[in-house]
Amino acid sequence: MKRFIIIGLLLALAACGQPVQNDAGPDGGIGGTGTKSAEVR
Amino acid sequence: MCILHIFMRSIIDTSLRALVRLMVAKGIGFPDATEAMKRLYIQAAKDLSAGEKLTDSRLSIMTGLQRRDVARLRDEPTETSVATNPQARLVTLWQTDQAYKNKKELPRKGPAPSFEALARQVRKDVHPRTVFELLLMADTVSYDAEKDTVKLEQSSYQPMAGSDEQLEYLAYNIGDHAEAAVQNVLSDKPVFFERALHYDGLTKGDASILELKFRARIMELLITLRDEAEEMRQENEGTHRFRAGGYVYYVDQEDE
Repeated sequence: MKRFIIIGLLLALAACGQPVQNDAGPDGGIGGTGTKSAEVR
Repeated sequence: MCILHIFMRSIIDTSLRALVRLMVAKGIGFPDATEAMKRLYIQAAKDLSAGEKLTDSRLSIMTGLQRRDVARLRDEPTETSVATNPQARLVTLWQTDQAYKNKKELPRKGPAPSFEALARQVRKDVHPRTVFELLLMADTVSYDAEKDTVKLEQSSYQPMAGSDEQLEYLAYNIGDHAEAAVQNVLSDKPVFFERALHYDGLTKGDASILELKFRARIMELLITLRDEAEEMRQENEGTHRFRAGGYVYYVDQEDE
């Protein structure tokens, strides 16, 4: 149930964002929510 | 209240508190979240009913939703695609592609090797200037106006705070982490690696030291695995996607 609830909430978030950019080539890389300002905390 | 309800309330309170705070902060109301959750409950019941006849009554009983909600939502698709991030991809290619890996600084325009050519290699439908500006705003690259060159400053891409890209990373990183943990719980034998270090009674300074050490080691590992994944994909074509990551969180327990 946890999975369903979390994904549901995340989808609700995604629904209000811009369209997913998925027409590019293959995915691959490193990234996340951490920002440079957070890194020098 | 039965033990199952106590257990589930603990899971919901613990795991969703931060996400609900985010939704409130972003103005996403409870009705919008509820509608999305209804669709996912129905999808989950369908997934767990492989080979069974899927009537509205069955889905209603499995999910606790009213039949009219089941009838209205059962055929609506749920989002399953995973976004690719052109900025993260560009940073990766810059560090792994033979034509670029030894060049920390590139001319902004012109034929390969150049930033423009690299950006076009990643996305043909987005102007290189747009990619450049996003990377520049995130301090992932720097720009020398006199030489008109772009320099790579970071080994990974962290989107601007509050940007849509950052929210996409939040969704997909947490989504896959939750999926791995939930599948471990639902499986007879845990399938995925999922571990965390947890301590209390530390000073802020000591917590900060642990964070710096973790950050350095995990970035080293992620970069090593990234390079291996690039080589693997050059040699073999497959259909699996892979995500592994790390996080650090610490807080003064007196503020919780």
